[in-house]
Amino acid sequence: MVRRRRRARVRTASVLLVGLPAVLLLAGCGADDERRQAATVADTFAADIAGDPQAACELLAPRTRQSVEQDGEPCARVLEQDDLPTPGERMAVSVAGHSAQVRYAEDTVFLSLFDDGWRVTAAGCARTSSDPAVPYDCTVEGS
Amino acid sequence: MSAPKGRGFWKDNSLSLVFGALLLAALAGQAWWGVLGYNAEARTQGLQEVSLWRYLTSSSFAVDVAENWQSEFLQFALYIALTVWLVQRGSSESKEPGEEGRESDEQQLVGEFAQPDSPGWARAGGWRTRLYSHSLVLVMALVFLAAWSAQAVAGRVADNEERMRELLDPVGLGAYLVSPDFWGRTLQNWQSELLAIGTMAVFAIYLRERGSPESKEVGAPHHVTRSSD
Repeated sequence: MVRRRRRARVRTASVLLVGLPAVLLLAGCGADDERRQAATVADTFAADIAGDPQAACELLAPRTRQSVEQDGEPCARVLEQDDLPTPGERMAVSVAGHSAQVRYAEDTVFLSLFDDGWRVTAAGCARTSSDPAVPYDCTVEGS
Repeated sequence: MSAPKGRGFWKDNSLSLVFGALLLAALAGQAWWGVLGYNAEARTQGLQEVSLWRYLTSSSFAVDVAENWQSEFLQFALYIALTVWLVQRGSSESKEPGEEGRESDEQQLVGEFAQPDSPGWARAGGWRTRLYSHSLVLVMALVFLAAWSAQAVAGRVADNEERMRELLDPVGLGAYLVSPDFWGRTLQNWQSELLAIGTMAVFAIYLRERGSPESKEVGAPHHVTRSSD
């Protein structure tokens, strides 16, 4: 009985010691996938702004699109007029849970994960302060 | 742990089983209320709500669980280790003043003083007996470190998810380890555990719970540290 209990304790410790890194590893692989998907949506959004603003509108998160259209102008026309920067080379992609940030040489885009994939919550974002607690200032964002 | 015959598994292990069941019930409740809170915040921000399963596998849930687990295991590891050397006169949670220290092999039933039914490593001598002599604190401390590490990893992801929602840059693990979020979560749990266990040690001098091994006998004098063994 004592031996069985000792084995059970060893098993519990093994599960903790082996299971935790395994979970973290799997989480890392999943995160790579999410990073790729978020980057693809951000790249497509940037390309559509210049070539097909209506398609870019379809990639906006609902609250952001609502905000863009709040003055009654169609989304595509607002995006054309907003003069979003040409993003340039993609520098970094960060994903955490349902949020992502894609940093380009000349632009930063924020995204959120919805049932139908990543959607842009803010674009045309630039830092206006060296204080990391001050948010980016974005041309397009949800209210 | 050896039980009189005929009592059965459930009766002999009722304490562990009831605490195991309460743990699962509390975790289920935490998950249920947690997903409601997470989704309320998502609706406020016009973002996607999540299913209960998705929330259970999220960093938000993981960090909330891990921050509490680490502090519990730290509390017990500290208490087990410190009560070797520190005493509280009159407390049933303490050794008698004057008995501080590791005690003799004879008192601890190790090596040549081991009994026929002593654990094998208590009898083995050498590194095995030394390791087994500290196994309780070691395992508690290892689980504490694992849970604290999990808190750091999951906490960073949960914090970054929130930061990017608020149009802020995400932070790396190094920056997160010196962030207010990490230390706020850590210390708010530590202080409550230290308060609870310190209070327990002192309350046990003057207060009683009839029949509980965590209490002295109801009639035991306040100045007596351990009224019975």
